[in-house]
Amino acid sequence: MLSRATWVNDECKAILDDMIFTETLDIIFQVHRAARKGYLCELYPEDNSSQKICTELGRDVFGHCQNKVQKFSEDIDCPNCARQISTTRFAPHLEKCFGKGRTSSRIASQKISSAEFSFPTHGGHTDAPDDDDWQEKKKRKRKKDGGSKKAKKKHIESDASKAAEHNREHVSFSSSYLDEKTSKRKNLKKKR
Amino acid sequence: MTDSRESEADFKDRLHAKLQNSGELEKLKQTLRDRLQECGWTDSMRKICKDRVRASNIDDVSIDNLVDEVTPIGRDQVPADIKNEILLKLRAFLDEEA
Repeated sequence: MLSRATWVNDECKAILDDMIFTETLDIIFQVHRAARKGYLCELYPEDNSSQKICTELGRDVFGHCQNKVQKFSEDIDCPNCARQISTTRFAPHLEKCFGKGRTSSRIASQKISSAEFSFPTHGGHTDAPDDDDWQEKKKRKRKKDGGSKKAKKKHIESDASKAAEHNREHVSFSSSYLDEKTSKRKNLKKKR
Repeated sequence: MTDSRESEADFKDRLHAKLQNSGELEKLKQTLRDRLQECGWTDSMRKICKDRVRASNIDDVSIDNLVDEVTPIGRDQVPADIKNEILLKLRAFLDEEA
């Protein structure tokens, strides 16, 4: 019947309207509750820039810089040699530069002793016996490359302590004081 | 069963009851929900509500206010093809009664 068909049509439209209204109410309730409770920002975040992909050159998709290695340290001027040294290498450089380290104090004391030996011999054989010993010791060190590290270390330390003791008479007060300290440290190490 | 003396209201109630009891109403509701989500209607409505809330102080915004303002917008924004799809399904189910 015609009237019934139109009734059916009307009813369908009404039901559809109702369903849409229900969905709208659902959303309104969600948003209103979130706003009242204060979590609206977290619930539906502004996706303006947070989700956009970065296509800039030299950066990754998150916008972070691609170069991982960054030079963060400033160079410091060494007061001794007036060179620019990186901060991470500054302390070891000072040690060598001022001659306070193990190697540099040994070399310095060797030089001093050799200079003192050459001084009394007027312009003659300037190579001190200590230098030859030093060269021999170096060769011995190189030959022993296959040996264990401990044996090497002991050998080097014993040489150093021997040299230190030998030079104590010839060098100035400050360097001898340092040598005493280093040799004492080595003796403690050897004892261990 | 066609009863010509049945009033319009009763007829419509009967239709509605049939939909409800058979579970067809719930199915169609879910279909509508899915379609609206797919086409982005729900996200758009959420944004509109959120903007409306943010524009004015939250204490001023009540459910009634939101409903009065947002419902007509929502109704207009539903795409026509989704409306037609649901209407067709409803009519197909209820035409047996006519």
